[in-house]
Amino acid sequence: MKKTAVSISALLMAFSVVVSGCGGNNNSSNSANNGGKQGESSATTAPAASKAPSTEPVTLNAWVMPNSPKPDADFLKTLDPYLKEHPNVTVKVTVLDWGSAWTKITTAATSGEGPDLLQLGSTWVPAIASMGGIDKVTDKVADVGGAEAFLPAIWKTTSIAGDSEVYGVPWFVDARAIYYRTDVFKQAGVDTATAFKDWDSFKSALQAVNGQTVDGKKIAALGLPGKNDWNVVHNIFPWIWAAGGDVLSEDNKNVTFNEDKGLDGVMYYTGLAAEGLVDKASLEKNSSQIEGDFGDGKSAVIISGPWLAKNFATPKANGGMDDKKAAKNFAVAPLPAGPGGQATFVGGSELTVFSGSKNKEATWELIKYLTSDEAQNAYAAVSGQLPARLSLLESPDLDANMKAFSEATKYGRTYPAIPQWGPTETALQKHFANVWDIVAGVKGKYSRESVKEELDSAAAEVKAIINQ
Amino acid sequence: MSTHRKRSVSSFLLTSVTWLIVILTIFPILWMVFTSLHSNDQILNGITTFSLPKPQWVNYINMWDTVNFAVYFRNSLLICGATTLLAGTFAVLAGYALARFDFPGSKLFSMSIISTQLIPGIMFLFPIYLMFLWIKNTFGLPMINTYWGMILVYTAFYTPISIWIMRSFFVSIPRDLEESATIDGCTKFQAFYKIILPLSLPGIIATSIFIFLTAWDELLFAWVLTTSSDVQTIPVGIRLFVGQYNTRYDLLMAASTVVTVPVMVIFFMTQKYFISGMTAGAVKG
Amino acid sequence: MGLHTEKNLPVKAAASKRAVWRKRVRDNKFAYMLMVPTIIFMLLVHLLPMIQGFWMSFLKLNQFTLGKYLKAPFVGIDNYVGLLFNSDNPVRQGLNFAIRNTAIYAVIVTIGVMVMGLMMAMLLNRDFPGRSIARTAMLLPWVVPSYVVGVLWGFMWQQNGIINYFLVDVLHLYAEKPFWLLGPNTIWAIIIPTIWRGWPFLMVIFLAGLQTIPEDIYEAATIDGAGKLRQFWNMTLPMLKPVIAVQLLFQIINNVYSYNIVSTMFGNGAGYPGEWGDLLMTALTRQSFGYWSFGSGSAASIMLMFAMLMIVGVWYRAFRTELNAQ
Repeated sequence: MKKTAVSISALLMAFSVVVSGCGGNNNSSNSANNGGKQGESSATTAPAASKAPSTEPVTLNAWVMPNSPKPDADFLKTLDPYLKEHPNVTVKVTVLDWGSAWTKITTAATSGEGPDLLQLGSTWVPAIASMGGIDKVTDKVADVGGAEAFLPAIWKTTSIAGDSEVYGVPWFVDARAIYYRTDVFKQAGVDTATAFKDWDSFKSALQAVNGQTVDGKKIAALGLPGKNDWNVVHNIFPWIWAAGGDVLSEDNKNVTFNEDKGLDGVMYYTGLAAEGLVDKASLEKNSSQIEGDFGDGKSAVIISGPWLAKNFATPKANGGMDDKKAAKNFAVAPLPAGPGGQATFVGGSELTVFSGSKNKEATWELIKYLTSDEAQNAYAAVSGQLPARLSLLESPDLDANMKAFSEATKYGRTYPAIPQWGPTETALQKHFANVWDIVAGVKGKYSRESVKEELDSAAAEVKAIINQ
Repeated sequence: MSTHRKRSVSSFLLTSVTWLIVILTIFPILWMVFTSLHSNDQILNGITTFSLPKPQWVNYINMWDTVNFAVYFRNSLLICGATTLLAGTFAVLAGYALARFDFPGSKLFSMSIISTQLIPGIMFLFPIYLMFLWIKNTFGLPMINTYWGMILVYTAFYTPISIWIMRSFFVSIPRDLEESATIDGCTKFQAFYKIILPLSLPGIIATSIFIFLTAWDELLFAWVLTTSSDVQTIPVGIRLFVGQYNTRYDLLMAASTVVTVPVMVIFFMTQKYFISGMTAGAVKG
Repeated sequence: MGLHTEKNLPVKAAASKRAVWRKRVRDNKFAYMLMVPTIIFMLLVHLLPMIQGFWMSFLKLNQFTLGKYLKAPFVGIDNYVGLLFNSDNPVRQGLNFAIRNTAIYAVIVTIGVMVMGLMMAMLLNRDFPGRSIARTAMLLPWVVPSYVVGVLWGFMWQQNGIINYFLVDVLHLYAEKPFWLLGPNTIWAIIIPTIWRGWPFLMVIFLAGLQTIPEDIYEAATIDGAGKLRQFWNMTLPMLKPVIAVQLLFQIINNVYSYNIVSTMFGNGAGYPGEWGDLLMTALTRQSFGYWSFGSGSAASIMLMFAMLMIVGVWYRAFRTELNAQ
């Protein structure tokens, strides 16, 4: 017994020493991987200039999100031509889910043990970069065409604001636009050429289609998700931008979304729900359910991304909605211009090299392939997302719906690329959720004052976060 | 005669109440099965009728190849099974020690077991991840993304609470049973093995079911300590049906239905041990 | 031998305390051996994280310092002071709701699962047609992954969902279909699925506990003319008391630390459950992995652990006699 106790305490002491050593390794992201096995460190220290493709067998771990119907199979299929050409490369895919990806990536970044290739949401890049979780690729991006080759809005998110270093390469783009029922608009006698011009015309169009009877059922004008959604913040900001507001001031030091213009935007958007243009039941739903409602003819207008168009072309048995009346009677239009002009949310994902990777060269080669024209088109086709390359976005081969989204990316906006965006979005999500409670009538009375009060407390919290 | 009828009436009433509760309890499960036969958009729209003209059976085929569900299933059975075996054994041993022996340190040990339950799960994350890395770097033994790593963590998590559960069962078994056995010439271990274990079988099975199902449902560590689907369990895999851009609630519900089947079979087979009277007979003997 | 230790003790009264202690240790070698595996696990998997968490609560550990982990800047008790006394601290504002909700939630769920579990165990301990099917069916809610429970009930609670269909269209309990996932009703939307998923476990435990009660006690009582209710109060409950005591504590702990169902029901882990749905664990997780404020997240966790230790103390005093070996 005594012997066991001694050896346990010895083990504990040894452990605590090494653990603190582990943490220390991450101080500088460059040395993190040198502490590992000697044999493998040569790959890391190899100069970036040597472009000759290595033929030694290498296994790359890739962490991707569920971007497409069969996430891992679709990803590997996209890579197929590359893997055929490089038989020495093996790719192992792990699919993360958005809900818990944060926990996993944070743990990996803290310990330096993780994948080689890491997909990050565009708003996450500055944060993980500031943690030292991903490598700089500034001197390599010329390989993929550099800034000029990609959509400017998404390229902005590959760096930390106010810093010239680049940390990732855009992979695909997600933009939001309006889907509407052409048959319902026709029935209501609304001219679709002018309906989506500005806020006033949009509202009167919604009022005209609201309550139209389609197939014996009354249709609601607009479908929008409330707080039980993963897009709460992305749903509201386009309206703040269109009103002329912004998240933060130019220098990212002050909070501005709660000023008059921002409040106008929030009031316009939530007002659509408060004024009866939205079925209140939808305030409990998430984006998928809202898309389902649109497909089922419960609403005449929704705001969604390019994947919905793909969903309308997918057979019912595969989870799609090709059998729906809406699938044959929809069109895509840009978001209406507010007092401050047109705006929409542009997001997407970027490919990054994890700082603890032992195969950085091979990983970069993989990124180069995935962001090439060939792979971009292939992946856009399976995922229903937009390619991130400008040449492909502006290509005349795009179908009409994709063109509308490509158009939308031109006035697309992104959040400030500050490292604190993660916590900021968490705080915004919380307070915007409360705004939806106010709109639903379960938390006080809906008024400009009560919404402003909630936005003010959101602003106070965000200010504390960005000043830390 | 009248008392007999009164008894059979009250027995009928109790049985009806039982079945009513059973039906209410499994209603959400039936609803899940019913939901799993709809198409994705029907589910998203909300199901409010009980009629289903064209059940979508194909969900039960598609669920296996949309997400590599068979692998998650196998991993869950393997990891949870091994955990149940290990944690169950440790819990029976230590639970018996705590229930029957008043030894120096027994109170401290019992209380420290309880305090382990007070640590929020998120506090474990970094330390365990780093410990696993340290083991790999020091001994060359990979721990992250391995079966034994997961089994070790789960065994360590569920042993303490299971000890208390087992202990409470042992305490409720009359002590004179072992005493008479030791007087009859049994050793301490024989008394434990031959008398106490069979008597506490319902408790052991209940505890094992508890361990199995708790591990079956664990997400946070299954999620962070694994990096590939080779070792990931059902709670990790099942979430993949619902992505941000692609949601397949139809397949999610089908998979959830399939998941319940093996556990149901196991419980159906073990529940004969929960039949009253076994102990009573043993006590008399 | 060990079984007779206590009886032998008075005889050895002449020996010094130390010798007695040594003898008790020696006599209980068997007991110690039974516990060795558990002790090793507890040291490795529980003690170390606790020490690290305690240390983290004194550090300024946020996204910028996370790379340094345990070598992050030391800030003393700042994290605690911020949580306890700084009313501007956004984390603290959120915690007030979480504490209130967790208290309501833990009390109602614990009572709910204990009462329902015991009742079902008694009902299913009778002999009636289809008993084994009923028992197996009762276990089902426990088998469904809690993630699916969150999603499933999330659909059922919708304003135009099946629950409102029963409550309003069939039973006419409300004039208008209420929101369950927005506003104050949220607390019920999380309590009811938790009870539903939790009581099968208690049923299994109590069912197993009932098997250890010798039947002849009841036979004797029936001859004495004691009614069923009297039998329950005077015999079943006291016999089950050790089991009930342990389950009561673990249910309280379990429900205070409840996370899965709530987090999946609202935005699949990304959402905010609202001022009436947020629980301590969702709040602490948001603080650690949403705000990346690991230092004050740890401080809040440590304070929670001390608060829970007090509850354990009260519990121990209340059930001391049942807990100690006979």
